[in-house]
Amino acid sequence: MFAELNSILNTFPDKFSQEEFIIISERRCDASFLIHHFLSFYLRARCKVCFLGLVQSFSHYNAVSQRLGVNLVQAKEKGQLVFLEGLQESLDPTKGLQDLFQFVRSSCSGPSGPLGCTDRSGGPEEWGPPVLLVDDLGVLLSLGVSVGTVLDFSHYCRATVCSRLQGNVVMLLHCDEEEDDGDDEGAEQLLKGLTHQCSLTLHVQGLPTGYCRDIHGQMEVCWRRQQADEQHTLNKLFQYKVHDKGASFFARGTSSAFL
Amino acid sequence: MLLEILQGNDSGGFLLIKGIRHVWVHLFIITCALLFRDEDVHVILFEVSEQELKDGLKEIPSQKLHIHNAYEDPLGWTNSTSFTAQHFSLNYLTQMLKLNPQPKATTLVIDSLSWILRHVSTTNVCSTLHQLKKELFWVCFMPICIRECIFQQEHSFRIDEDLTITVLNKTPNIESVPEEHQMDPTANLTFNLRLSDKEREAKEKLLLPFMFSKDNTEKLLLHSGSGSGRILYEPDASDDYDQEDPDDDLDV
Repeated sequence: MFAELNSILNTFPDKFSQEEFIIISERRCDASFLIHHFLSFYLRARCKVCFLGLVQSFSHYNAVSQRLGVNLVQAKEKGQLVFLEGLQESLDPTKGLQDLFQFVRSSCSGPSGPLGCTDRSGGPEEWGPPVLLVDDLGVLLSLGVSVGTVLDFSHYCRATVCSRLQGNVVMLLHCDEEEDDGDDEGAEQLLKGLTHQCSLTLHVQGLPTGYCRDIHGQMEVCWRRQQADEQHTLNKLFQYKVHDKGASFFARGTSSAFL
Repeated sequence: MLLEILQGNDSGGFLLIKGIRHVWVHLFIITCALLFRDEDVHVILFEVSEQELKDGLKEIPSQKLHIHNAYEDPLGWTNSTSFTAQHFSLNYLTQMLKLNPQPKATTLVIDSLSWILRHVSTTNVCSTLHQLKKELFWVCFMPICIRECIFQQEHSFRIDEDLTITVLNKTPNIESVPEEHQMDPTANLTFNLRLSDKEREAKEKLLLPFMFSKDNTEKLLLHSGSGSGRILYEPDASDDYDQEDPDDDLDV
């Protein structure tokens, strides 16, 4: 969990907005640090978290989370975290994503944990609103699922987790324009569709000028707030540097390495 | 066109709204139809939840508003809604819209057509909509990209808190910035910037040395001048000068 990012997004573990649908898009860089951020953030906020880890193994996420001060094994045992290890599951793209959605639905709305773990007072532990994290949606595309089907899946996740259960959804999508294969066009289409559905987008991209030791990339934050009196979009652009145990964000050109 | 809809003296038809997901656009259409005309409004929701819509419609009597919620389960995955994308056919829609017995003008609002187009073929959608148009008064679609516009108008409007709609002037009143009084920078100078006619004449007559005139050109180009230039060079003691290859140091 990065304190700096929390103040940028104005969300804190003890006070965060619900019914948010957050899209993280990464281009020419690795934005998985944001997934780790949101994972540790929502676990600290005592939310019930359902994590679809399609890119890495559980032990990888666990190792990173431990550096950020969250123990995934414990969270899993307590029933706070439901982890789908996509590398070990076989998703059949021909069947569509209905099964995957049913998994999300049951793990988000079900009782707190399959073990029915109890805390010291005897009753089952109560968790906050459910949160769905997906890392990353592009994997579904490369498995042969069509863009439309993925959009249906994300719509169902939004309708169920955000609207019905008042929770949050965070999805990561990797798109790279450099690749020439047909896959990539799909990712762009998917990103457009998702941007239409979501309430907050974090566009993360590498610097157009290439690798830099002190600035790892830039992040554009786009809010689409729907308030009672107005709807406005608000964009902010930051550059960031990922550290060993966190990340720092700063306005363009104000890296501490230069000033 | 907007005024006609507001005043209710139009002949009905299709209204296509292109834009982003924006709850106020829906409210706008629905309030138009509800407040300014006395008709039933059916809304098929795909992209906005019923709650979100109702939150915005707090102050509006909703007896005439019929919401068909396809947001929660648009494809029938959880069997929890009555309307799914597959239900978008003439039979089902006419059945759904004819719930009230007395035939009256009805408005159908679809949010959004893009959703249906993803799951129903375009030709089917088109023919269904055309047949619906015969039966209904207004059909409104929500965000969808239109390639060709036959009739396009731009309107500015404002929706107040009590949901009254004011159509603003067609020519958007550009905030008239009061023109700043331009200061004349040459007003209080200690020297004269202007030329009298006499002075101007003298100035134009003047021939500057670099300007080409007949005399000048001939002098410069035809006569090579008295002194021809020469370079005198005395080699330094430390100079590494090779007589056989004088250009050795040029590195060519």
